Amino acid sequence: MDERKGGGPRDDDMDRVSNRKALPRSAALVLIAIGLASFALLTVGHGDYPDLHTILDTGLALQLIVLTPLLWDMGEHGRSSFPKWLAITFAATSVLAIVHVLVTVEWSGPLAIVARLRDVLRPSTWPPATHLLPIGVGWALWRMHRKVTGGFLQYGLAIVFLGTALFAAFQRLPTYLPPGPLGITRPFLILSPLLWLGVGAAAWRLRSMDRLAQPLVWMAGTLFLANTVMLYSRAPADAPAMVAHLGRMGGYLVLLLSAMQMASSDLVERTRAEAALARLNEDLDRQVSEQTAQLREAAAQLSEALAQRTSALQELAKSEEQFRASFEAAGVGKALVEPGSARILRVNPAFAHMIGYEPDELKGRSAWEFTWAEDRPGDQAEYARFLAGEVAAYVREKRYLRRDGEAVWGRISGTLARSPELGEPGLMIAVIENVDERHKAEMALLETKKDLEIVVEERTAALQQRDILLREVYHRVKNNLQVIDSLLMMQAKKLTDPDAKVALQSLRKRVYALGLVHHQLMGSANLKSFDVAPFLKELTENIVEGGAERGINLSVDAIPLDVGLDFAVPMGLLVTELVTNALKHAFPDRTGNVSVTLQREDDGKITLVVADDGQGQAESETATGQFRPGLGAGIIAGLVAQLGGTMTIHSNNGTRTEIRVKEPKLS
Amino acid sequence: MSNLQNHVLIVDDEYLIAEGLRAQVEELGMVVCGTAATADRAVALAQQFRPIIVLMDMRLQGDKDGVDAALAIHETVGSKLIFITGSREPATMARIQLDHPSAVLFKPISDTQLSTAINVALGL
Repeated sequence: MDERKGGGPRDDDMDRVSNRKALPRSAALVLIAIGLASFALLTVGHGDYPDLHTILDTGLALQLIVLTPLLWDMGEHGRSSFPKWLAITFAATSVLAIVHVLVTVEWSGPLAIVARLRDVLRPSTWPPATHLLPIGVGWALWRMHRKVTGGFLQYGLAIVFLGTALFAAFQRLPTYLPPGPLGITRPFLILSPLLWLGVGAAAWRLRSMDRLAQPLVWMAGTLFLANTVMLYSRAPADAPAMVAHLGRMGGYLVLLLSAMQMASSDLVERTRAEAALARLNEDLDRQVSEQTAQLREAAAQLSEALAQRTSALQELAKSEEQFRASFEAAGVGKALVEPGSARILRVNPAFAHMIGYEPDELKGRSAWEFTWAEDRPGDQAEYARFLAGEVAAYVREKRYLRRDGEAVWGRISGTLARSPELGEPGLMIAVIENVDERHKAEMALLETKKDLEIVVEERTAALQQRDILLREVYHRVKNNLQVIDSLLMMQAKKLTDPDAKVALQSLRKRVYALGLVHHQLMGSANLKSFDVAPFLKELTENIVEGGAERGINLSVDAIPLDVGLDFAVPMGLLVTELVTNALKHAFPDRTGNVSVTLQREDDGKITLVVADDGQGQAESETATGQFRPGLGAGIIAGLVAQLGGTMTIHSNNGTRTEIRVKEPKLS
Repeated sequence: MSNLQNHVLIVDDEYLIAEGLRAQVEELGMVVCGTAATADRAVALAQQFRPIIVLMDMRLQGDKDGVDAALAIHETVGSKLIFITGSREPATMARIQLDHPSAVLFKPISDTQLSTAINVALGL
């Protein structure tokens, strides 16, 4: 409100002015009635109405008296200076009007002087008032137009001074004159209607600045007409004077009724505003109570939450205590590490003591400080993979650097605890097991293993060396046997005696048997033993084919039997002798069957059988169980004895020689 | 083949073995054109006599062995090669197979084995 004070037309005032442009209906009716009455009075003629004059003067005085405080109050309530200036003007005018009325009273006693002044005062109080009012109103409009506020005292003094001056001036001026130009009988009042014309125009122009300006336009118009008619008055109570009085009354009524309507509409608006205010207050009360309820509820929830939080904190404290206990008392090393920087936040005594420190000494230091320098690059690479999430856990068997500079083996197993809010790894929890003893044992074992491997390698090399030597020996033996065979052959070529030739051929067969044994040995994996079955087959086939007897059918049936040199040489020679004998003696017609079998008996002994279906040997020889005396027979008997065996010979549709020997034992 | 002589060349660094083999070959009715103790000598004799069969020992005097000589003879003369060896070592056997030998005989060699091998080599 304050910032609008005197600041030109207000929005709400403008609304009101525009809403009540029309003259109040009561005021319109009054004006019509006055107009009709005036018309009636003027048509009758000049006449003389002294009583009506007194009534109208009294009415006018009363109107001014009512208007003065009303306007002042309007200024007071509207915080506006304009109505107050109007009130001051009306006050001054009302004083003149009161005097104008009071002098008509028939005073007696000490106040009789007033009655005596009647003739002076009565005619001289009308003209000042009729000039003072338009001048005061016009000045007030001008001040409003210039946006002046206040200044009531100077305004009032100026009005009083003007009123006095006018009063004094009109004392000397004549009242009624013979009709002049336009028939005017009171030319000294000519200024009054002109003033009202100017005030009306000014009020019309300024009608947007104050709501009183509008009724002022109507009032000015009415008073312009009234004062114009007054110019034709020839006596104080003639018809033109009465019409002028009625016009003045109408003008004042227009203002009065308008002011009253404004006051009543202000009241209605105030009531409405109060009602709205009351509603607003109610709303406010309701909102306040609602918000109070909400606040109470919130407070209840808050205290509930606080209670829960307190109990959660207690739980947390409890679990923290349990965690601390398990952490501190654990036999295995434990550590809490900041993942990114690998900074140690906390370790338990088990870990600290493992590397020769107290827990507090490790706090805040980098975990890599206590990693054996040579292991650091590998460990850090694995740790980076772990942080990147490529491996779920950081598990390493690594060396820690102990305070005394020694290495101690530990097996670390670390996992990340991610904080629930951020998802960022907030903490690494590591368990470190002391595996130093185990690791050293493993290292020692590894060393031993290496030593063993070296020994095995050396042994293997030695064995390979032995194998090479053995092969060389076998090779040389065979070569030498070949030399002997060559010598025998060369000797045989030189001999002419057939018996001698046959004897040398027999020797060659025996040499061949020895060579074949060594040949088998050379081909065997261990250079010590070989399977006797293919050996017997090759040996006997060579003897039979060497005999060049195409009609002899040979069958060899031998069990697989691993034999060494000690067994194979006598066995080979035995088979050579027996098969040679069979070929030599059994088949004069050069046809028949020879079979060689080698079997295992139930008692584990080995039986060699060489059988033929030939003529058999001489009766005398079989009877004694002996072969014909000769080198072959001696060799056979000797070799059987050497093998610790027994020999039986059966002669029945051929000769069957059975030799039973113990199973060969491989050394 | 037509220009090869019906001779046998014997290559062995041991005199007695070579002589024994000569006796065995002559028993079979064939002519021995010579005996050689070294690979170079063997090649020279082979080129000189163009034998149809060469009995070749693996171990020879000098740096080269029987396979070296056999390869050269096979290349320049085209004789059939019969290897005679005392060894059964895999390395030796692999080297012998380089020359696509007609036969491999292991010492001591019986008359039967030798005659069979020569008959096979001659395609009889």
